[in-house]
Amino acid sequence: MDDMINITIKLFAHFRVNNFKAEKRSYAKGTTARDVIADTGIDIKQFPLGILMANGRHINEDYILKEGDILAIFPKVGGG
Amino acid sequence: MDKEKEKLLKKNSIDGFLSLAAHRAAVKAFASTFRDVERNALDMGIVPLRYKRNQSTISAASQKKLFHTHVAIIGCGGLGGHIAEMLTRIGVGKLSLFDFDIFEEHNLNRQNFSNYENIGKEKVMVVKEALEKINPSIEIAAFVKRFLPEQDFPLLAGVDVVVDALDSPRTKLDLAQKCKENEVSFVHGAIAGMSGQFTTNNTLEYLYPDGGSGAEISVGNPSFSVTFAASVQSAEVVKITLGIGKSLEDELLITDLLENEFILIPIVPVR
Repeated sequence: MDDMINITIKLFAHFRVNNFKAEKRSYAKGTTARDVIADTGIDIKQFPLGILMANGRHINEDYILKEGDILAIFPKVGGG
Repeated sequence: MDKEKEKLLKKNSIDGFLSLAAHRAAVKAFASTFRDVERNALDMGIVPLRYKRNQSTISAASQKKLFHTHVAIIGCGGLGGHIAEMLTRIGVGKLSLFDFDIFEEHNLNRQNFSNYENIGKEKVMVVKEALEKINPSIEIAAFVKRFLPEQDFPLLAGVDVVVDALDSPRTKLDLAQKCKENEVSFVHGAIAGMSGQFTTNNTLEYLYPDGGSGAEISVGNPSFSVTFAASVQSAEVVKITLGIGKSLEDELLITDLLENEFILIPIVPVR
């Protein structure tokens, strides 16, 4: 199990529709934020991806997750 | 200011406040504009009575500072129309409004001053007219045009604060960049459904890396999301102008009225 990490994924706003708010999942070491986003099945065609955070700090999709990370995924918001 | 005018304003003010009737009397007696009388009164530390209920938040000196502040509101749809009204009521002295569009039926759910009678009319002209009725001391410039930051930024000469009330991430991104280059204060706000996001004096490349649209295309914006967001942005304008409180200069505020979530994310400056 040493090659696995446990993280918490939090989805926000429209990403929660037909999906979860927060969930713990295990992934192989080296998993990126991009891989996790794909795994959640959120519909980024309908709701484009906005800001991503790991442990309260802004990250990009290439971020490699670490044991215990909290990954927060927000839809893009651009209306006025 | 001439001595006679000063004498009359002093005589007609009560406890440091100038009533509408006294304001009008001074306009008539000295053939001044409403705006000039307000400027004269504020110079003397006399505050128009309309602002009395703001006094615990905004002192006479702050009221004068607001009067001499010029704010440009880029976009006069959902956010812009409400921000324009709030800044007018608080006494920001000069507003420049930009929007190319006309009111349409589908704006009635949220856009300030839109009603059955002005569908088809240019938004900025309707808003300007309405604001002048609320506060005739405010100088309002209305531009019926699509604001293109790269070419139109010179129109913002003399502006102290630029408010992002646009609905296009691409234009938001470019406007933030131009404000940064020109060292003009910039108040960002954006909404989609019941979600919103806000930051002040920051560029937006981390929010809109590709300039493409967001969730707002699919979900639209209900009235209370719009007025909530407009309030956050208006408060930011007043705070950074007066140097009071804590603005969103180091943070991104993300809000969700559906779940009552309000999240502050620290912004790491781009170096």
